[in-house]
Amino acid sequence: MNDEKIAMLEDMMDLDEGDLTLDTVLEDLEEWDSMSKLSLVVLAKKEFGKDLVVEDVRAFKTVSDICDAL
Amino acid sequence: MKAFLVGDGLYRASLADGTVGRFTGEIALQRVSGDASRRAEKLQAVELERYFQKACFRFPLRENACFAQRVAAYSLLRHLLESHIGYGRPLSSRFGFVSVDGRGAWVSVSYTVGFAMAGLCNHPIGVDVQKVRSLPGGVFDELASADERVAFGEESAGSQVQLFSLKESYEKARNGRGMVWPANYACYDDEFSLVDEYGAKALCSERIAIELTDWVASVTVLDESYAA
Repeated sequence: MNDEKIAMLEDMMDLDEGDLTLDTVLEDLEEWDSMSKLSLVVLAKKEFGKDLVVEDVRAFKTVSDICDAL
Repeated sequence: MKAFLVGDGLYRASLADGTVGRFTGEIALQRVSGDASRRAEKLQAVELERYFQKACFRFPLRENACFAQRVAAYSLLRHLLESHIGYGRPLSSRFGFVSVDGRGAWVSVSYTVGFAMAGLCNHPIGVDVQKVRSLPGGVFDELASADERVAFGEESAGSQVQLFSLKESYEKARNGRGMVWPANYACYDDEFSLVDEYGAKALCSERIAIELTDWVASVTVLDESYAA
């Protein structure tokens, strides 16, 4: 299940397959910008039925945090 | 508003040339490539403490982990503060937007892969710079109004990102944070003009193409009363 979520995140941030792992620190990613954060809110609802707000997204530290929330 | 290159990848645009009415200030846009630690040296620790650490917006305290464009954005902001009003501490008002304590000035910063941007104005200002890339499926439809979906739905990624950037700069001027979702964002026509201004003014939204990569930089200012 996490593979699917990570693939979605890689696509969302225009990264290559395998660029992200559960341990990846979001702040270390240049692509983790405002567009990515807002896109995650939209995709979380659309793909996983999860209601996130931007404040939730800003609190995420790692890819694992996102996967846990989805 | 005309931006001009002043060297070393730094673009500056003055808001004081009379073309934008009562709005005065300056925009700085920096092409960023290189390591963060070198750029971080331009910021002194006391400056970080005094001007950013207590501000409402975040600054990366883990210097080694921060990226060049993030450091560059705050370096540009420091430069604008020095150039126009001297030092002042950026504060968040009760409405959210970021002003400089007691100086009648508002500031905004933005950064993305390859570029950093900062703006200072005598009215609430929002700046945004985005690297052009395809929005994930469905995201554009969620962020655009019905009319915008018609106008931009079939357009290139560049046009869709430009629309996103305009909305982001508008929301940053209004609330200091940028877009949240769901929300009713400002709407734009097919020429990127605000449909209902109500005191807001989209100063510019320009595409920047360097080699094979495109960026979009946008600036919006608001009447203070409207931002409230």
